[in-house]
Amino acid sequence: MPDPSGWPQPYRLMDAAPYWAALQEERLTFQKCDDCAEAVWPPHKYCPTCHSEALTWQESVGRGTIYSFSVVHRAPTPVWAAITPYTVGFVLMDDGYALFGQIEGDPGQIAIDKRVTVGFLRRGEQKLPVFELA
Amino acid sequence: MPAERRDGAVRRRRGDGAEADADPQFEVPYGPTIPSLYGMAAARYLHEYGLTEADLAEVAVANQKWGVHHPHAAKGRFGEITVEKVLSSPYVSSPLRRWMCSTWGGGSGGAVVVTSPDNVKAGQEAVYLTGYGTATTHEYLSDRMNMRTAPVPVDGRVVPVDDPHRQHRGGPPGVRDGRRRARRHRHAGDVGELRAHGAHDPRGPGFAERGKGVDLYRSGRSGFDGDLPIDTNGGWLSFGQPGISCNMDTIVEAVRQLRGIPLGLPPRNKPSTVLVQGAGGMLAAATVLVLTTDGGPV
Repeated sequence: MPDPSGWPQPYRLMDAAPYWAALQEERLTFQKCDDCAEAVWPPHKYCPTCHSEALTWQESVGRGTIYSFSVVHRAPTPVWAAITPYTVGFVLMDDGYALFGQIEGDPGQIAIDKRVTVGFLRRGEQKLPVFELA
Repeated sequence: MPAERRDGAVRRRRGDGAEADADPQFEVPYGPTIPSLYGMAAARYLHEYGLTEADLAEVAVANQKWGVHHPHAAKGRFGEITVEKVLSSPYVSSPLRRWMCSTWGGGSGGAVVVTSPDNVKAGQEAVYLTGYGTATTHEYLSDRMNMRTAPVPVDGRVVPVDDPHRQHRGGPPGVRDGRRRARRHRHAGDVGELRAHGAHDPRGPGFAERGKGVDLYRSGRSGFDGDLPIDTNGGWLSFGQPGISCNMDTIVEAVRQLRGIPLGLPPRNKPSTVLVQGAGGMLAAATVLVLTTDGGPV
């Protein structure tokens, strides 16, 4: 069922259940491979680098650098149209993986290579990570 | 391409209707659109090569020059445009403006491939397929951004893993080490920067140096009188694209040009070989065909 708030909810898959649960407690987590030490994202059952099954959830430091971004002016649906312009982007997390998300703040101040920190925002039932300029 | 193609049932059930080929779990909740996903690639490309929106606008201008002469080009009726006109159109998702985004169009293309000479009809000029290649690297951009290896050399960010066992023995690679490796391999914008404009990327197949693809358009080399006519039907930008079978329209245009029966304008020098580059997904797949009237059956 659509969330009554109108915000799209993540299509949760089982591998990522711990991720969504941690976000509800305002903790940003990701998987790390115990064997090859690579950060694993998006979540997997096996490490895509070394095929190990020894993946452990751990908490992100919550900081990163903007790799790229785009300011959305033409929104896909009414809930998004109500907040245009808004910014989406990829952040290279200090933990060694890339996370997609919304970047809050004046679009004119957002730029590639700027540092961001993660915060949390409730959108309907789910709390989501949201970036803001550091 | 619309979300409905692949997982429309999922999207409808959630009721968001987001028109994006975005990851339903890790991207859709943040409101991406297809232009925003390509916009990120374009923004990174401009950043890495010191280019501007005016540079990108050249592609739209060049495509429209061809498109106005093609009876099936969706934007043909708007006439030729200038860089200023492109830059004065509103943003769809930065840095992409309305004139830099593809529109719906085409979609009726199809092809039948037969062996020659037995199945070539009398009076039909044979066009030969002399080579092809295809590769797919990922599903969604989040997968692409976290790739450690690729089956083929790719542009953009890849954090390579040289030898997992060595890394294991040496302990976890530090963040600084990861950054250094990322920088070394972050050598180019993705081919998406021009594909986002609905055009072939002339840099991808090697017709231009990295970051110099737009020069082919600006210099006129991609035009009627040029030595590398590109998107002679107007390309996805001016001809339009139907979402799925867009590359079929490109094949049809290539075959028509090779046979000398284009619906739009022919280049000044009739080509004997045409390269068809098809792009798919969110910078995820590419296919190249080489079609020619030179040569004959093997």
